[in-house]
Amino acid sequence: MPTARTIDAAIAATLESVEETLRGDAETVAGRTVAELAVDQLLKLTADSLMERASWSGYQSVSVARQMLDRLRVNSFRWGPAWSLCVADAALAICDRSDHATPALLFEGHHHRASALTFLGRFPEAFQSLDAAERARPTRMNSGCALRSSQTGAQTRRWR
Amino acid sequence: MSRWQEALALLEEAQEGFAACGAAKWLERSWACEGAAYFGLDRYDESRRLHSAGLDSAKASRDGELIAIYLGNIGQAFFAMGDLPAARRHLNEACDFFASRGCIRGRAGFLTTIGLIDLSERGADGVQAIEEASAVFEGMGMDAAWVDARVDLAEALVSVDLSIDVSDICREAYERAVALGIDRLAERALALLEPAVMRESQDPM
Repeated sequence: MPTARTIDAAIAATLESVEETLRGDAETVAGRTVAELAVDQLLKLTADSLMERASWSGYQSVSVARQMLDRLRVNSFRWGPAWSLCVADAALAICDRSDHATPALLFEGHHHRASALTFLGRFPEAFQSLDAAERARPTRMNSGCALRSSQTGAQTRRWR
Repeated sequence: MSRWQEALALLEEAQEGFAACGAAKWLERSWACEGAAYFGLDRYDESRRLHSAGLDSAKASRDGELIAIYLGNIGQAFFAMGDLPAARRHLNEACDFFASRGCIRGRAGFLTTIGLIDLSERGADGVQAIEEASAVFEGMGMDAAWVDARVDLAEALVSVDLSIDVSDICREAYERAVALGIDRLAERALALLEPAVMRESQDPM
């Protein structure tokens, strides 16, 4: 009977194989589907396990990083900021080890990281992440795109 | 130039950028930041009008999350302007939306202001909403939002009944605000804490 670990290992191996096969090609439906399975598995882990798993060679796919950030965007008002930060960090860790990470992906990862850090009250680190997002931003993207939206900015009016 | 004016200048630059690269969604979302900056400058009606424009745009693009954000922000502007029924109506709508999607964090942000309305209407009996929001912030590690909610709670309690002892609330909020480096919140907590400490020291044994 397959356990979570064997399923996970199979997904990792398949991902690696798909990445190898498709190297240089545009992302395909197959690649996205496998990445989706991988992300489903990753998001069931604890924060520590997620970071550890993100360093495995099988998860070196930018498709995985992209889908993690997509999930983060969709769940930004649902997840706690600590978990959002962990997912952003894991996605960025995957990007760091991939040759195919795009500036847009790095920009988005750092931008989500900055938002999570802001909600955690870790302002200096949030500013550092915004700087990193600014440095990573795609060349076609104007500096305007380095700003983040505000949910309840009005509530922060008296903080500083 | 205040930090909010600096923010407005940055936003203007950003919006030009969004327009130049055709990032309509980002432009639409940036109005929430702009409205928040006007709120920070105590220009509540301008803030409300910007959020209302944002709400219309979000409705046109059927972005439910953005609709809820703008509804909540309009509610906060109405609260600051003293129109409590309008504030409650908008805030309830935003909270209901977030609750229906399981967005605990999104709901808690606006629940704090509903709590302030409850406190102003029902006095010390109306603490439930703000306590609930505080518990969510605490559980999610959102220390800054937690401190903000606690200081708001203490100020609201004192404003309805000067004899209420808020020293425990303020002491904890002050300590966390200092640890986070949020000077303004620390100052607000301290402003309430000092009279309480004075009263304690003057109490006969």
